[in-house]
Amino acid sequence: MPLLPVLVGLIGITIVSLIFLAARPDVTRAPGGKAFAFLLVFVAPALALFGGATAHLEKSKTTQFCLSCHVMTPYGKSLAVDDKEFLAAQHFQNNRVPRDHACYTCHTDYAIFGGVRAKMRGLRHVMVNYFGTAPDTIKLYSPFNNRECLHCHLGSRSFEESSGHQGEETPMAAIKSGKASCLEAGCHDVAHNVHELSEVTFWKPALKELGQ
Amino acid sequence: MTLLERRIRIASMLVLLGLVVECLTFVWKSPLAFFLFLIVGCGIAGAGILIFLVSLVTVDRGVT
Repeated sequence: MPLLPVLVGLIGITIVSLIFLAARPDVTRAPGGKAFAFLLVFVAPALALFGGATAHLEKSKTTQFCLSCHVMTPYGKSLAVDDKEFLAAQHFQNNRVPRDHACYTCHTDYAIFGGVRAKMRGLRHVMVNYFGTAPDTIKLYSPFNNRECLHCHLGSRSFEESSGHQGEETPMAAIKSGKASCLEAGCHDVAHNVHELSEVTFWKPALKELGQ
Repeated sequence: MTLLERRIRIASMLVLLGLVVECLTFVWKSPLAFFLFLIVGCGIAGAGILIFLVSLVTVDRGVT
C-alpha cells in the first residue's frame, strides 16, 4: 500500500479533529474525553511524524532528489553519456538500475542512505549545498564497495561465466570477498568521470529524462 | 475554561500547525523540505505534544 496517500489521509483526519478540539476543549470533560485528546494530540501526530520522516527518506532515494543539488548536475549528466565504457551511463540507459532510483541503487550507504552516521552526513550535504561551498570534485567517504555491484550481479550467468572474472589477476573469490575492487584500474574504472564530459557525446533521450 | 483546557487548546493548535507544515513539505520538491519538516514541522508539533503531556500530569483540573 502506498505510504503517502495513507499518511495524508491520517493527517487530514487529525487536522479536522484538532480544529474541533481547539474550538471545543471542554469535550475533554466528558467520559473518555481525555483519551480522545490523547489520541488526537499524541498518538495520531506521533504516527504522522514518523510516517512523514519515512516518506521523506523514501523521497531522498529518488534520482530527482539527488540531482536537485547543483553540485550533482555533472553526475546526472554522466548518466546520459553515449559511450559503453561509462559504467553508470550504461546501467542507467539499459535499465540495469531503476531509473527513478539510479543513484541509490549503486550508493546504498552514501550520505543520507544507510545508517545514522550516513544520514547525518546527508543532512550536512544539504546544508553545504545551500549555505556553504560544495567541493569541485565529490569523493566517496570510503572506497566503492563491491557489495553494490554484487547485490544484482551475483549469481547472474554473464557475471559468473565472464572470462574477465576468472583470470589469475582477478579471481572470482577476490571479487566476491571485496579484495579486488570492481572499479580497479583496467576493470570497470570509468564510472562517472565528470571531468571528461566536455569531450563526450550524449544520448539525448536520457538527457531529456534527467532534465539536463 | 479550565487551565487544562486552555493548554489542550494551545497544544492542539501547535500540533495542527506542525501537521500543516508537514503536509506542505510533501509538495515542496527541494531537499530543504526535509529540513523544514524536521526542524519546523516536528519542532512545533513536538512542542504541542510536550505541552499536552506535561499538562496532563501537572495541571489540576479544578484550577481555572
